[in-house]
Amino acid sequence: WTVGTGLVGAPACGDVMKLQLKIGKDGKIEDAVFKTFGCGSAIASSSFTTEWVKGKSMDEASKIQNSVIAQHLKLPPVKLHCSMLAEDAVKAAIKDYQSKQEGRAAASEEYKPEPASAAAQ
Amino acid sequence: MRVSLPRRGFLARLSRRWCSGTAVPRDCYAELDVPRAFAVDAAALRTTYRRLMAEHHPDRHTLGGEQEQQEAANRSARITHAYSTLVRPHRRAEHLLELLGAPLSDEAAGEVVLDDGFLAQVMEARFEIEDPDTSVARLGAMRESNSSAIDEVCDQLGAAFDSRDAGADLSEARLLTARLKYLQRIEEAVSERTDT
Repeated sequence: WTVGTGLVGAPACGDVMKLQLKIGKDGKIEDAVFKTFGCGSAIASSSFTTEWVKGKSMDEASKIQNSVIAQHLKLPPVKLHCSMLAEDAVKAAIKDYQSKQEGRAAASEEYKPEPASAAAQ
Repeated sequence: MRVSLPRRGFLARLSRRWCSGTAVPRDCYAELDVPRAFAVDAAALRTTYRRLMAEHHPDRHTLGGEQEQQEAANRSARITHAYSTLVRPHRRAEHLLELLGAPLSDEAAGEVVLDDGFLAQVMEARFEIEDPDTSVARLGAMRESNSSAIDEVCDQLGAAFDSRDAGADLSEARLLTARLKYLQRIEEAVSERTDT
């Protein structure tokens, strides 16, 4: 397995959100964790999102919609951007995982295996 | 246009509220008659604030009629709001962006992309501040270096806003303002932990 890390920020409100996906060899999300410095809505959005993505394939997870998060949490209009941030975080984590995979694939073509520690980020 | 308003009862109270005006000035610089720039003279700003409050505070209008007192209250609220906006660099920068038509909250005005390195530093700092094992001495050191970082960003912001006169756009100013907000949050986080 390997971990994809998404680190996103919302400039308008100064929130910062870190979301990590533990992805199994079958491409499914085995576990997800978050850490958010921001308002309650931002924390709740990332918390809900980590629960929502568990067990889903990366493809399914990448289709997450901030409206689903907002509706579930009943976010007021002024906090909708928090759900957007959580959506961005998931997508960033998936992108990070994919680029790590690509890096590993490229490296393996050179007949020099990458050390396992690179995957344990 | 002057409208004749009822003096008593429900409609009177309602109309007073409608006509009482807003406490949020549209232009904080104009409210305090301060030149519109990022750099402000802090001492002059404070003097201006005190002078205006001495003139408009409701306590100076206790002999006036209800309308005069209401107007005094609104004016002083606007003056105080304008001062508290201009005296804080992060609020001043945000306000200036609003006045110049490129508010930070408006994505249509341009995407603000904070590089991963910066966000990672912010995250690390926030973790460290939150950690109960972090010593008071370490928090003090973090606060000081954060304060220097804030000063540096403010210098850059001054230059970024000034360069707009030479035709540059506001993208740099918006990016710097976003960074300033994050640094300010770090200051507030340390303050919450250390100040009683």
